[in-house]
Amino acid sequence: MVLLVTSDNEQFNADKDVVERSVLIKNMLEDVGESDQPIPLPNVSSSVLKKVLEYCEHHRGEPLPSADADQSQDETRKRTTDISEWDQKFITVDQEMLFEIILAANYLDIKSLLDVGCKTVANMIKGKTPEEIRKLFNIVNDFTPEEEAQIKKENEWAEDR
Amino acid sequence: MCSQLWPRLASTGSHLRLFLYTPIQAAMPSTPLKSPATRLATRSPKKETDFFKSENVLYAKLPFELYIRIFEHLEFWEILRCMRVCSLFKKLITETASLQYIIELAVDTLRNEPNCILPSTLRLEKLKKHREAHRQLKYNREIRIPVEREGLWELCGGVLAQNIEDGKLIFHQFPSDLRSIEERTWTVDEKFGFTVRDFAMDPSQDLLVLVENADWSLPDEKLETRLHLRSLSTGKKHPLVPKPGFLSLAGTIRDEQVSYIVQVFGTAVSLFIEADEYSELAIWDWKSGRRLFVLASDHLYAFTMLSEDWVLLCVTNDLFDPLLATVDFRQESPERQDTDQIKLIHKFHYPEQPINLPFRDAVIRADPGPLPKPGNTSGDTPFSQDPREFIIVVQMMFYDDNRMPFEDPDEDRKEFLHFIPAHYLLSLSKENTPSPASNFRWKRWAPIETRLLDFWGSPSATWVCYVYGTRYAFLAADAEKPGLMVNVCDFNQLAIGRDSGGTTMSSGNLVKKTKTVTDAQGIFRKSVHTRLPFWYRTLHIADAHDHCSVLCSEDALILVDEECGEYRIFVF
Repeated sequence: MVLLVTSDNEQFNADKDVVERSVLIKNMLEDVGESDQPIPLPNVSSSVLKKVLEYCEHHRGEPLPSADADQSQDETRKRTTDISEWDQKFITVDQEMLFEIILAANYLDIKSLLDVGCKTVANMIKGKTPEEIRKLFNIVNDFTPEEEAQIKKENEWAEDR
Repeated sequence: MCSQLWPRLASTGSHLRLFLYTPIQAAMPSTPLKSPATRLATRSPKKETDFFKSENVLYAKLPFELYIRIFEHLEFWEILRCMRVCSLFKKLITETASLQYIIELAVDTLRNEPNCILPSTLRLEKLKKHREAHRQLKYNREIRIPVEREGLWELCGGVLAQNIEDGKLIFHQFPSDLRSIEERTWTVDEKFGFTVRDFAMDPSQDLLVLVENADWSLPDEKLETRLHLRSLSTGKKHPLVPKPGFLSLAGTIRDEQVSYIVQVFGTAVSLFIEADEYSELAIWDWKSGRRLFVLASDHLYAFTMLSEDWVLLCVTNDLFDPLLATVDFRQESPERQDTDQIKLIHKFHYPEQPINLPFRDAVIRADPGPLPKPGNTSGDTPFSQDPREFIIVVQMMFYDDNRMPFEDPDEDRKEFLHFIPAHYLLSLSKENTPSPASNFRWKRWAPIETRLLDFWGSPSATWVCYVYGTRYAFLAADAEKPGLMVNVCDFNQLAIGRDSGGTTMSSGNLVKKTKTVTDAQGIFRKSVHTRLPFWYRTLHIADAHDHCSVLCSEDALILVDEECGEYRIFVF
């Protein structure tokens, strides 16, 4: 068992093969060797870690991408936005939690979870106008109307797909 | 400023990934970057916090790398739309090689090869070279392959197959210098146990489809046509095919002069049997052996597969006027039907034709390229033709009823060529299922989205692989120059659309945007207008003989010189 401590100082006990789906934790465990020292995760809150552990628990035992495969998969990540049924249900959370899970997956280096999160956000972008996308990410439009019209014109060939 | 956007950096440990915004040469970092945090401060764009509303900075916490990761799951037009969101997105998209690669692939109707290990920056470079070579018809070298005299041949997925004798086939994989494909030759010498009447193949699925010559001595109820499904590399039964290893169509037309056309589109294999006054089309799911559709009719003239679900037919109405029709064949009964029994048929009509010029025959040709299948290419091939975007060439032939008896009908043959994007036909068909408005009058479907030509070369009836993807090749002679002019027309609408949007890349090609007005030598009562844009370019082959034919493959133009007995392959 491995002891994890979250940013809000909550402690989580989890099986080694579950937490090792995180490449970050796996490397840490390899670095420190046999030890009962708790692992601090100052960037992950308890509510998010709970979700992340739920994901790792469900996917325990599945093969992890090797370092070599990681490169080619990164480069060629299929742009399908297919997500398995369980993952789909798992990631049906409010937007705040979704972004927190993505950040945690990125920090903890859990590639498959990061992909599920990014695909979910990509699905949210699909079919939306630029204004709707701004709302989604809470972004202010910093283009002048002329600039925006210009980009729109340049990309006209790709519209109406 | 930075501490608000990058709150996690304060606790940087040795394993923390840095959320570096990486300019184009780095593309998507494939391994977590572990550089010192100081670099971040120098690389961060100036206005970063201005983008995000201060009262809710949560979403702003996503590092740039993750925005890129999200964008990589989008289709190219969605990525382009994201450029309009804010200047940060625009900069990220413009300067990230992996995103530019997705966009540029789409512009050239290409798809990524998932096994390739090259980084996006190198693929993007290869893509640009590929584009320039094809647009300028600048081939790299020429190779020559002998024409085998036995007659049967097939060109598919960059592989040329020839039948040397019964049970012996020789295959040539054409090289591609632009896409790192090696030239390869192999033979299949397998005692098939039957006479091969015709064959087709799909190299991407290692599939060879052999049409067995029917045993005409059998009585009608026992007569059948068999398609044997073999491995292209060994000639033995294909490993994915269930027993008995062949597809069978019973009650075949009794006519020894029939011709066969076999097409493979992913999981679907189709067989077209053409007799004098009657044709039959059967489609199977080849991996299960299940028959999906059979159409038998004296109103059926030609076909091509549009996708794994849709087929395009050339049929005639009650007055024997030709029209095109799309069928969602997986929704149809597997029992034999006639054209009037198919329910969900979308009809695309032609303008009115004079009564004294009857329709004679039609040929439909298209080659979408192989469907993507993981594991079928070497790790060096970065991209291939996208099978969703291709042009359909419909050739329709008419003859004058006033001709004298016994005259060669070809003498008076009139014809036109009609170029139709497959994507367009599919979108019309899918939109309208199953609405009753499935009859498309000429003016509703053809003038803007298709192009009808009546003068640009009559394609060979034998050497039919003159179209590949969005490109169509034809030959012409120039009175002032020796040899032949190889002409290539490209109907890639995205590339043309973007060129005229103000960016570069025209490469000196002639873009034809003005409309064609023609009555096709009197095939139509009135002149018809069509205006689908295309570009064309000519390659002069000074030492070509005038009896040649031209074929088009993914990275090759092929001159077939039957008299000299060689294929001249111009490799790109």
